[in-house]
Amino acid sequence: MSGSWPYVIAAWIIVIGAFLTYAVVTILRGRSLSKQVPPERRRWS
Amino acid sequence: MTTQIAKGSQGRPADGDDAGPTSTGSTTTRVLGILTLLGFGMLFALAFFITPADANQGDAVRIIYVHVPSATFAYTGCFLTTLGSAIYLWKKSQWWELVAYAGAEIAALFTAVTLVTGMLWGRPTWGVYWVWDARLTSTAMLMLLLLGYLAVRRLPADYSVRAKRAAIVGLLLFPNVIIVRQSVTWWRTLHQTATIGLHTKMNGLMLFSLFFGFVVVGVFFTWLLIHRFRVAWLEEQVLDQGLDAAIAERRAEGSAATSGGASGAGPVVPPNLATGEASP
Repeated sequence: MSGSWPYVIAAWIIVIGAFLTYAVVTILRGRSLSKQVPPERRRWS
Repeated sequence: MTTQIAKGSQGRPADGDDAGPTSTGSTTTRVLGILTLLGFGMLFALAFFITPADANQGDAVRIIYVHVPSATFAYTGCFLTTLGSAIYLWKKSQWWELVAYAGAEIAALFTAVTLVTGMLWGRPTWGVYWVWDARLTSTAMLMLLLLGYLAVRRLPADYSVRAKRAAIVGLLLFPNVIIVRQSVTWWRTLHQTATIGLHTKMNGLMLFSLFFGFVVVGVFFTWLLIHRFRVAWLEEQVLDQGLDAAIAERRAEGSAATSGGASGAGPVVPPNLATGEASP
């Protein structure tokens, strides 16, 4: 295992962690807001 | 973007009932979401187990498969923000303004990821996390500009005021991307020139992994953009509802006061702001 591996692993953990966190926060916020808006104003296909 | 906002009963419920969708998801986003998960799994396998180490960069090249696509889609987000801002200022299109807003927030995430992965790549390759060279400095400036856009967009004000202020800042984003992109050719920098070009010399499997990274991050970017756009749309609807409710409340108060005055109760006196008691 070369000296670069800790940096490689840290970089991938940060990328996946940041993307996953933002995606989950966005979905949860969307669900929470959907409950506050009448159906006719939140129709998408 | 395949998302569609339809007002009133003309919109087709995505979840198959009349109550409409209970989230920002739809068939398109579900397909994109599954492709993103599968793609990241395969990209991880390519980066860690299938591709070889680079002759010059060693194992640090495995960071490049996410660093370069993240940077590219950060630029794409900035482009959408500048385009959406220009169209909003020209035609007052709320759809484009929300595209600009969603694009800026995602671009900020991708720029932050680009900066952090770049630092983690720089440490084993250059021996330092950070140098104030043109590429790194201009990328940091782009990050600050994106945060500035988001701050201005969230300042409390009427929608049209917020949108106009943010759109003016949004116009600056893509010109700054051009400076970031060209910085390695305009100035002498520690950062290498463009990773992908007409004369790119790269191992076939490594080049495939990099292009696959572009596809995966691109699909994820599209998935995020659709969801974030819908969240922004819902946020504005909630604000509108709050405003409508406040106006209705004031009207009800006004009509109650008028009918009270007509019945001989005397003129309505506004309360004293300091004491809360009726003014003399």
